[in-house]
Amino acid sequence: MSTIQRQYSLPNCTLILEGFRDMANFNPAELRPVMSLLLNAECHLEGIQTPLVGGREFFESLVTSVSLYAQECLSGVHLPSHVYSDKTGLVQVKRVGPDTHQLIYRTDQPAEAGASSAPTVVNLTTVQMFDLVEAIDQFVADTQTLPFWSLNLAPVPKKYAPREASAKQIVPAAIGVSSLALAGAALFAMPIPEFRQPQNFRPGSQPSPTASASASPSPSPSSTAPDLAQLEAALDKVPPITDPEEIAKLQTGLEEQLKSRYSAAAQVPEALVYRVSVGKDGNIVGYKDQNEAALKNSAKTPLPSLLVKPVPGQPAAEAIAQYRVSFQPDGSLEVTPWEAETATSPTPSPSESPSESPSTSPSESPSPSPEASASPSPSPLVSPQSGEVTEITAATDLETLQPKLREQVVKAWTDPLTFNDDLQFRVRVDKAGNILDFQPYNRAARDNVNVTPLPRLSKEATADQTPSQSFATFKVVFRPNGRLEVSPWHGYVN
Amino acid sequence: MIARRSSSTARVSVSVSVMQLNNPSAPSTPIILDSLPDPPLLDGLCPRRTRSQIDLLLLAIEALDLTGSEAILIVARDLELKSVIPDRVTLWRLRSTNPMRRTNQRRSLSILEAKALVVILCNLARRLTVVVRQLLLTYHQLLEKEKSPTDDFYLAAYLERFRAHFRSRMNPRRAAVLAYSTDESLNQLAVDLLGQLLFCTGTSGMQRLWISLFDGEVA
Repeated sequence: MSTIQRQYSLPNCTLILEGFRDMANFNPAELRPVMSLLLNAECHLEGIQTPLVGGREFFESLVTSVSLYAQECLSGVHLPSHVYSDKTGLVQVKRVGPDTHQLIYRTDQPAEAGASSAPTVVNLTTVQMFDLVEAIDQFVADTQTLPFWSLNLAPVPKKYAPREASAKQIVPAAIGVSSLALAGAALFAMPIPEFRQPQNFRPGSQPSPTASASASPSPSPSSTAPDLAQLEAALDKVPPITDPEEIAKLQTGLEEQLKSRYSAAAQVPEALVYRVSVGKDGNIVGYKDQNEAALKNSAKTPLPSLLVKPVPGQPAAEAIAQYRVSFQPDGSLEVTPWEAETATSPTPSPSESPSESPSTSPSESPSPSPEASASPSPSPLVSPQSGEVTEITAATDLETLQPKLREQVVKAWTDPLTFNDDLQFRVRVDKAGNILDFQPYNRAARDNVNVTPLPRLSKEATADQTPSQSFATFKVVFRPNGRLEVSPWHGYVN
Repeated sequence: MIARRSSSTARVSVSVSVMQLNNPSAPSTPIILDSLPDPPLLDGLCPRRTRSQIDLLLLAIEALDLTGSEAILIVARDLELKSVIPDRVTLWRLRSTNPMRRTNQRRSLSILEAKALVVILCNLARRLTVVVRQLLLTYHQLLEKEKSPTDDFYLAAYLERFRAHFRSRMNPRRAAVLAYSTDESLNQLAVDLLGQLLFCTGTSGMQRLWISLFDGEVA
């Protein structure tokens, strides 16, 4: 059985492979028979006296390391050595200078005589490195030599590519990160903003407009100021948990959760009082400071770390229970149901300032006509304290009104398309879906109002006047391509 | 007159057929681009680093070869990539997907477009192999003598052209560009790109470059 030799020569590198031919498919007529088994590999490099010599393991390691290193040269992304399967790790390549690449070869017979146990270290220039890569590429491309070898190139996965690859960007990135950290630190002390819907927006929570107009034109401030918990529970549309057993169970859970994470070591200066909302599963879904110290020291309490943020896009539909939690400086804490707390000491809502109602109610009472009663409150969106007219904002109502409005406009829109920009209108409809009034919202809409069907369907609203009855506001956009868009003005509020 | 004209047409037809014989692998758009595998990207669009890297390598080629930008279009035609890169404007728009550019386009680069640019890039790099090798050898010699890379006439000319190209086209307000505000940092970038161009010239250089463009970008 005779061996065959293959040689791949480049200016700075010569690769000589010696091996057996493929005896199974041996064809004597073949000029260049297939080498199927590698015996010995020699790598002659410019600048070293003795070539790197080794068996199959050495050559496998050489090809793997050099190939991966070539990729690293191109991308600058280093693949950690433990990731790929170079079992022996006999050959390692690393960059040691701007133009110097170091190849380290640990001979596979370290026991032999001690002289050869020291690893061979070769420093290559970029051009020499390339010649080595090219010699390997030519070998891999050669179908007559070890044809089962292939390069198996693959991009380095994201998880192995720390952003050190873009070292040049580190300084600006660091500035960005630190400013984010500063902003984070500054915002950390702030309470989670609570969404508070103005009272009048919820038609269900109000008496009907006609009834209130006739019965009590000037409601007393005390009766219109409901306690905060009731108001917010209604506004958030999150049903409160009413089952006393469940409230007690959640209370115990909350207490345990907090006690395990709170001690005197937190060093709070005075008692911190919070209103804490707990979901059915016992998770803290929200908390709000109830005194000055609580606002400043929330970071010292375990609340921020226990807060479970709702998954965006999913309405927080679960029921909640609210508790009054006070952290004492001595490391103890108190948890009581919020309902019980507020029943004894009602907290007036800050948003419901009682001074406003008396100031507007006198002007309402002498003029019971709807138009006049609407005028003192310039915009229902800004100061919706009047109980006369409510805006329909419930998503279910809007969903039924939207197609009605759309159908009316589409049917009437027969005008030729003579405009080039979107025409945006604010359109208000009553609860039956009839168009009450409209208002151009952009310049193009004002200029082209007559090519839309709106003037034929209703009257144009004069500056921010409030309709006489409950209404829903929609945004209607006429597009130059003939499309019509109708959407709730305030979006779907839930 | 008639005889001469017919002979010239004959010569043209001969040269055309020879070209086809010489280039059995160059060929219609899909085949040449098929030699590059599709990277496992989620959105099928090239990441930022891929876009800047391709553009920077092309910039280095333009600094090496004064007619480089013309050459890109000629190679695109020769490799029958006209369907992807039909004209100068398209080429400019594709290269402007580099986020470092002053005229950065908001669009991304499709995988097909990136493949076409890489095929052209490697083709041009291969033609410049001798120059690239020579410049890198010079650079190494200068480093050994602890001299500045600008001490060699040819290397200095390349570096100067690269710096000029870079500064005239890249937006200095971008963080990635800010890192190259000094001559030294730009020179280093230009030399690094030379090394990368050399690796592109090899037998599997095109595949190696293509795969490396997605290092650290795939899941």
